[in-house]
Amino acid sequence: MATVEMKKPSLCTAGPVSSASIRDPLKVLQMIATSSYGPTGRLKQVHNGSGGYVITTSQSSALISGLSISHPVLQLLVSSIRNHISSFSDCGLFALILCCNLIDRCLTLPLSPHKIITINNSLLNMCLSYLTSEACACKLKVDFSCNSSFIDLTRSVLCSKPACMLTVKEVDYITVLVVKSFLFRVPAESTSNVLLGRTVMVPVEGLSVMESTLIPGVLIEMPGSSWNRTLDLSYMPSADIKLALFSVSLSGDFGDTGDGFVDVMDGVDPEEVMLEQLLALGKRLVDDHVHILVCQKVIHPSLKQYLKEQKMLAVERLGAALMEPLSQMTGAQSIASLSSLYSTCYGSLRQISRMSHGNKQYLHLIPCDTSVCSFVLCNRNETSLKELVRVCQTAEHTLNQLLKDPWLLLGGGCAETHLAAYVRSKSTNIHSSDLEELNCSVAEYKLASDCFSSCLESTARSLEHDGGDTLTDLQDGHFWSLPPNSTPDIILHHCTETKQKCGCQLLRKSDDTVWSMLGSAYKPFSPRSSTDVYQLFMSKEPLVLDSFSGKYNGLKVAVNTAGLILDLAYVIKDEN
Amino acid sequence: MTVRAHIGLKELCTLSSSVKSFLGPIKSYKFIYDQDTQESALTCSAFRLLENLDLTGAIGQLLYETIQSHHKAYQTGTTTLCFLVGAWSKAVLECLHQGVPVSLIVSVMLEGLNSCIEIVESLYIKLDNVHLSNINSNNQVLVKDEGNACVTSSKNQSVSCTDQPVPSGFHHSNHLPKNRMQRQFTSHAGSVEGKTCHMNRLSHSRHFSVPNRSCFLSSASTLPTNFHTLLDLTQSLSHGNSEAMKLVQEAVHHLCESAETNSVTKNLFGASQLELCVLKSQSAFSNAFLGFTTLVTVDNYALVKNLEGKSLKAILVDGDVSENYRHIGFNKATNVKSIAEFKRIGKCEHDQSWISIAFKKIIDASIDLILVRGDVCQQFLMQCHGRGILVIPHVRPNVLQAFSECTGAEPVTYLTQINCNSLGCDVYISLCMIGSSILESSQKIALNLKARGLNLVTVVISCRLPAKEQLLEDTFRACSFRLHHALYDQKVFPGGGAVELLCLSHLRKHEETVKMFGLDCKDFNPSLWLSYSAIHYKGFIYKCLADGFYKYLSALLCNMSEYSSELEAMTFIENQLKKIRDFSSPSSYILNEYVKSIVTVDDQELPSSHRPIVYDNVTPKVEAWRRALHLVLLVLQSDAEIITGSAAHTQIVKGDLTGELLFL
Repeated sequence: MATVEMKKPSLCTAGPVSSASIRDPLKVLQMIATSSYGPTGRLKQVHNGSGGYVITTSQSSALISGLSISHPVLQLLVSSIRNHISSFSDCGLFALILCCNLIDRCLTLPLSPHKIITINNSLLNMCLSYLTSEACACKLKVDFSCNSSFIDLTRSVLCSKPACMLTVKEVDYITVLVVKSFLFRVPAESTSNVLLGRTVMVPVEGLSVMESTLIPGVLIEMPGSSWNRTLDLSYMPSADIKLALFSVSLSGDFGDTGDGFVDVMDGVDPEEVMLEQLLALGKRLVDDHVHILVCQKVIHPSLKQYLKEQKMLAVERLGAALMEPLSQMTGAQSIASLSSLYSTCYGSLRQISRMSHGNKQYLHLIPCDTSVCSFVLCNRNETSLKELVRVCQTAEHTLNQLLKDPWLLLGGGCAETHLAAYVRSKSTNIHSSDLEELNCSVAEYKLASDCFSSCLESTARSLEHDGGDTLTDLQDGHFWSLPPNSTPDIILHHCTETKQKCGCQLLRKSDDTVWSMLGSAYKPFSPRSSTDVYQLFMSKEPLVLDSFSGKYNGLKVAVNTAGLILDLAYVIKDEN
Repeated sequence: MTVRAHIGLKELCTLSSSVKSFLGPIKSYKFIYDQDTQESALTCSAFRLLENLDLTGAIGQLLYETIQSHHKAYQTGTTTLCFLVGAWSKAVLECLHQGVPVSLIVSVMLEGLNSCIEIVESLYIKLDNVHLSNINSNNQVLVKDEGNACVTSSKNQSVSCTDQPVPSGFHHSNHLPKNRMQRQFTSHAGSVEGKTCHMNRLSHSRHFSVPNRSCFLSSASTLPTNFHTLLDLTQSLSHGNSEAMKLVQEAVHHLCESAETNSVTKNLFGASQLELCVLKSQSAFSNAFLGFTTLVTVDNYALVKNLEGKSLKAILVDGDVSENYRHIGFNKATNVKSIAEFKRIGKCEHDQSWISIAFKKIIDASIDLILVRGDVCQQFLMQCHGRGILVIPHVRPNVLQAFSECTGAEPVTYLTQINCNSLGCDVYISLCMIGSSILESSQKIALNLKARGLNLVTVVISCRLPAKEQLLEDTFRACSFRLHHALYDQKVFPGGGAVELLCLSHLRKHEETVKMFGLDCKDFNPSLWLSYSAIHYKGFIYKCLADGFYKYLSALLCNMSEYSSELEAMTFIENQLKKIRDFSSPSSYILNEYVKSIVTVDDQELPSSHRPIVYDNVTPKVEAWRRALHLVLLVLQSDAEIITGSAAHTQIVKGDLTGELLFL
């Protein structure tokens, strides 16, 4: 008998953000994000506390996807960051840190939340329009005729994750491979049905990073025991191999029959009938001169035996991940039933061969073009390997975005400090008409814009983890780091003796640079525009670069989410 | 300066402190006792130790996973890995105590280890030719050419092959109490030892007693400089487990005989070709047999006797032999109902039982032997037994694979698949005999299966104590893998801490020179202030890295019972380092002088040479170093654990630096 209970009323909490309950968890989240940011960041170990798998990482997608938060406001924050990461895969930590900073500082301002939100929105629009304008001095246009910007961007992404434990030589090597795979992916001619190629990651544990390679085609892992006997490649033709791709299970079982019953006539053995169907299918394939059959799931042993006798190669257990790349590469349509076979759904390959890497054996399917490549990534232990795979996927995604938005931002904290300097200088010269539109006074505007700039600066400062000091120069507004406890004499000495560069490695210290500690108040100045610094970009030295679209969207997401959270008045929770 | 206590590193130190007694050739076993389940395990390998401990923390799990993957890949060297993890964790804690920035520790230590690995390449001992014995087909005695060792002072030449290899001037080897060497190398029925003695006898003749190298070249045919016999190699790699190594050597001997070759290459011997069969019997017995040896129940005796000596036809079944078995990946439908329109009258001719159909197929193909990977149903077994067909269940997949390769039989999953391709011919069966009695244990008899071209050797071990079974298996596997890796890499290191000593001297030299030469531009990032301040800390970091090797070496020397206290061991190491510094080339010093100070194991009268007596593997050792350092640096760089507790519905963040728990 079902029991009927009275529904509990929903719980309504007023003013969730103003109470102290959010400050502490927000601080914890901020601490997690800030301590993992950048190439000298610390790693976090994510596990479930009861002997499960341990992930050691500093990458935003792995960290944030592991969190399951109970505080509703933080849930909102984390879910919007997750959304950003799923679209852009980079700058997730940047967005999280900026958002936490904004919420934290704006709560301390003596202004009403509504005013703060309006002013922040106008400041955001100011930043975004500056970033998209021609005069922006912290962005760089991608030159598609040479590789340097791709290589710099990829190197910056790879270096930003210390858990990979790569030496400089290894970073350079992997950078070249990633850029190569990007160039393979971009189609050579622009036809009407252009499709971007794919890269399949094949992780191999235990080898040195220098053994990673990029191979056109798809690699299918073969278990060692079935190697010699079942793989006889001498019957393959030398070109134009026909391939049939099955996504349905060929193991002779019924598959999913749902909840009901299957009625079978007495004397009829369903398994025998299925086997007969399978063998008939095999005969059809032989008649159609198919050379290789690839199945996502398991193939019945009798069918395998029959195909072997007919000199056809049968590969089973491909797995769902490889189906789409294989289908794109060969032009085969995956067959989902046992009865309908059309000759148009077969694909073609150029060659099949064997490959072994480390102590794993692979079947190598080589296509006629290079649209699909396999990136064999090796690293010494599992943790570093997984981190390396994640980082390479991020780098790949970032390079793909360049095709849409061919711009790059200066990295290493310089773009944030530059933007902060720009905002400060623009807001000292604000027009009274703009103030009227925003419906606030000069003092209120100054407070809010100071807060916004210092949030940007403190995001950049989070790159420093070893106790050093951070400076900005009062000419371009770039980010400089110094040993801890530097006195002015040391700063002077450091300038003249060492050849230290700024965070993005564009600028070098010179004698007449005026410095200011980052985070302290300085006299607002207007940073040099892009025409003045244009010469420096032509110098062809390696730079630290960030993805433009990632940072742009990250900035937007951070400010919008902070505004949303500051605007929350009630939280209504369903207690049932 | 505040002392920052890094909890993760401390935990690593504690976990690895227990493997100190496993280092070296003389291991002390450890018992692990579980209070809850009252189970106990006896072990002397770091892998088994950690396996039996219930590690729930993240750090413990990371350590276990690292050791597990190393064990899976190499099966040897896990103790080195575990000990170095502990030693280097202590060293890094020392660095942190001095306030060295974390990122600098990481980059400089990695660089230091890479340079050590490069420098030890000079200690490689090449193994291009490993021969079964040192008498070639013409029955000439093959003599080693000593040209490989570098020319040093004439003092070395007095160590000729007429004398026992008494090291000159290294007094501590005389401290060694002789009664510790209890493992005798008993006279073994094989022909290998006889030939070595033969060689020694010949070497006593006047042609060989002149301590002049050139005369060696004139008489018998000379071998290339890196000639090794299997016996030398296995003894040097045995690291104290001479019985297990003897078995491995017998096994390799069988393989060589069956392949009719005199040289041992990696194609001939792979550790996966050795099977192990453990008997529980009253007498301690160990032997190696060519072919596949397994235990069957006693009632098969008559059957086996009948089949002995005949050429048998066999099939290989990759699965179970039972009515309900289906291949992997087949999901049996549970909702099938059988309905009938009319009641069946009388028995249909299709209504035969599964067993009779299967059996008929076997009889028609005149099969004598069935090897099954899984279970066999009892009725089928009895029917086959009645007809004189032997069925062996629970055969390992690699054995099936080996039989499949040499007989040409395709393994089948179902008996219905049997056709001409799945029959293998020329399989022979015999009972294993010891002297004139059959080998048996606990109601089972041992029989041996051979086939032409089968390169499989089964090693049979029996022991009285069940606790020791795992131990014996582990030591046997470790020995076989050591030989495997030595043949695979085609090189070995001199053992007894020689490699670690070279690394120590190299790092010490680096420590001194780094102050003189300024910035090293390898791992240079021009925008970080760390790169410019690195020079102040580099020397100290190199010293800490060297400390890890130092601790390893002193623990090893203490364990070899040469020194009763750590202080004596440290004195010895310092003396050696001083001598190396005075010498022109450190690697030649180590290859020639230091290795002689290693005691000759088992009191062997081995043919003298300037080769070291104890060997170490190259790849397992170097990989163990790398993995240990990577793990320590990974834990160093982690500063918090995020525990996703589904039970608690909250996120717990544990700060590694401070140890407090924070909730999200």
